[in-house]
Amino acid sequence: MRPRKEIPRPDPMNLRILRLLALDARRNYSEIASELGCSVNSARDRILAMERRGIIRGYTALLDESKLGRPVHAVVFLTGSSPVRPALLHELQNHDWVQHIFRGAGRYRLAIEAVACSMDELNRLVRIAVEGADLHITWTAQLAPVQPARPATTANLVHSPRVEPSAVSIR
Amino acid sequence: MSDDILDILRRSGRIPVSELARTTGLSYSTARDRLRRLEQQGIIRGYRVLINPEALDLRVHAWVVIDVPDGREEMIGDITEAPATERCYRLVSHPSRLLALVHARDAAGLSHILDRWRLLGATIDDVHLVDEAGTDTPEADMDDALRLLKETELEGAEAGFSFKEDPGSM
Repeated sequence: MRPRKEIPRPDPMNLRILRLLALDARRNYSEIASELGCSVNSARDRILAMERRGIIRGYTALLDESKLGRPVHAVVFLTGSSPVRPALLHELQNHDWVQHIFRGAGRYRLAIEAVACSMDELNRLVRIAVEGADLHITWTAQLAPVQPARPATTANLVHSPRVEPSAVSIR
Repeated sequence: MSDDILDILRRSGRIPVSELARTTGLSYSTARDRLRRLEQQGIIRGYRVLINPEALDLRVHAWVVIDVPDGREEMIGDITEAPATERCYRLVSHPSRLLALVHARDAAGLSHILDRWRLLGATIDDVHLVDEAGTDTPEADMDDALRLLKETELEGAEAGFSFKEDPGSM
């Protein structure tokens, strides 16, 4: 078990900031400040504090991988007899074809969400990346968008209309 | 050259143009123009914050394999749109089967979600618990947290660069 560091819950103002950054992480401090009706200093301090405390882990650009020659989007599930070394997780994260790494808590040791030009290429990349690590590709789930009519540009993202909070309650 | 820019933006999406220029050895205006072009071409669809899901009290994450019976396609929308579902895809090998990334506060929360889907008529084929949520997210009330988590992935693809705020948000 990984140690759980206590992370303070964002207050309502920070939640609003997170929402703005979720929609466009490149919004600058003064734009955020004017949206919130607070001072630029206050917006900046709050964002920097959330970065420091680990509420914000970082920012990323959403890329259209199919336009970059990688139309295949898949999650590769791997089994193995021993836990995955943290160093390997770290290495995997540095490959540009890797989108997300999930450490398995059940039957699988690892799940790698990735993009590639073909399924063969993807399996090859994964095999090379985990070489010598006692990990075996057990299932490569190639993904397609839920709505078949969606244009290729959104192939690896799923559109979903807004859901009201009352739709599902998980309390 | 654009590869460099993309690689940097993938890791630090909020990097100022001046720093992007410095890192890549480009002039400020070249870096800015390249960035603009990548956005206009739709290669960059948007930018999002990566939020730690634990800050939202979401500590159980799973890739769930769901079988949707024939003629019950409308169920797919319910599953995809559930606040707990961050992302949901069809399997290319079995188009009636879905793979969804789901977040919950705890194991009980997850089984509650899966039970709801079973009640709709879906079969839960498999649940692969994962420890590390690759995409991360935020809270106040649980539903709001989940909704926010979800929004992080969605807007960019749909709206390009005219991001709109959720009118019902605050």
